Amino acid sequence: MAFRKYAAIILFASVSSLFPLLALAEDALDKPWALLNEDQRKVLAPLADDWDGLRPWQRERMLEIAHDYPKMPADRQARVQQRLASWSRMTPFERENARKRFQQFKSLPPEKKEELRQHWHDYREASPEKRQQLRSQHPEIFGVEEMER
Amino acid sequence: MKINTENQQTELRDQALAKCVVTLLNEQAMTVDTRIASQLSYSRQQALANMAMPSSGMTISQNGVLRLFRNYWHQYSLLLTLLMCGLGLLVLLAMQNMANQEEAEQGDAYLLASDLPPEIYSNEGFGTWLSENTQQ
Repeated sequence: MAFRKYAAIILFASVSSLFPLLALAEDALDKPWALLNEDQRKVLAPLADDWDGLRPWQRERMLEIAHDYPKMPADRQARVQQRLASWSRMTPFERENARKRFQQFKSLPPEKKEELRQHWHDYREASPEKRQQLRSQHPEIFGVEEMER
Repeated sequence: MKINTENQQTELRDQALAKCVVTLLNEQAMTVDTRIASQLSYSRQQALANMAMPSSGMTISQNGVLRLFRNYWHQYSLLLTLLMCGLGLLVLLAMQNMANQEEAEQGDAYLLASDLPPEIYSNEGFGTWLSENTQQ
């Protein structure tokens, strides 16, 4: 009898551990802006006007962002919100390329990553003329056109 | 010598008594009621079956191999199968969770929160620069 009880507990635990995955899958359904919860609307506020025009898979990605958002410190959360709108306007191809290169960036040696961060820090601090000069000298790092500072 | 003779006599008396008991029991068995005979036969079969079945979940086979929970397996095969499936599922989920932890900071949110703007990651020139510097 006790054996059946333990078996039932283990089965219950394994089935209930699937619920968060099911909940995330449910979130990915075609939800209009009005049906998002308060936290999701708060994070995805920059997309409020565009949300109902997004494709279901785009919404799914955005909801994943909203899911990861609370795990970040405030300064990174601010960056996410600042960049959300332009990110949603990028083409799927550009976003996929960006994801691949972000992973590549993470696999760089630590000193290279730090060097790149420092370059971007200096670039952000520089005057428009200096930034223009840096872009023409290092288009591979700063791009050809002015990006977000 | 005298003690030995007394012992032998006692033994013979016991044997005679036992024979007498057996004879009486056999005579009674011939006249026993069919219902009682059937109940006795059933009880005997039960007793023999219980003797054949080991009392604990642990037995030692003829070649000396220790076998655990053999009887439990026969009794609860469906439950044990479900239990093993449940445990397998838990292990799978635990492994998936560990893999997710390793892949932490791989979602789009982390890309957007990166030190570099997302547009730079979609820049072809930056891709080339990354490939060159990753190989070094």
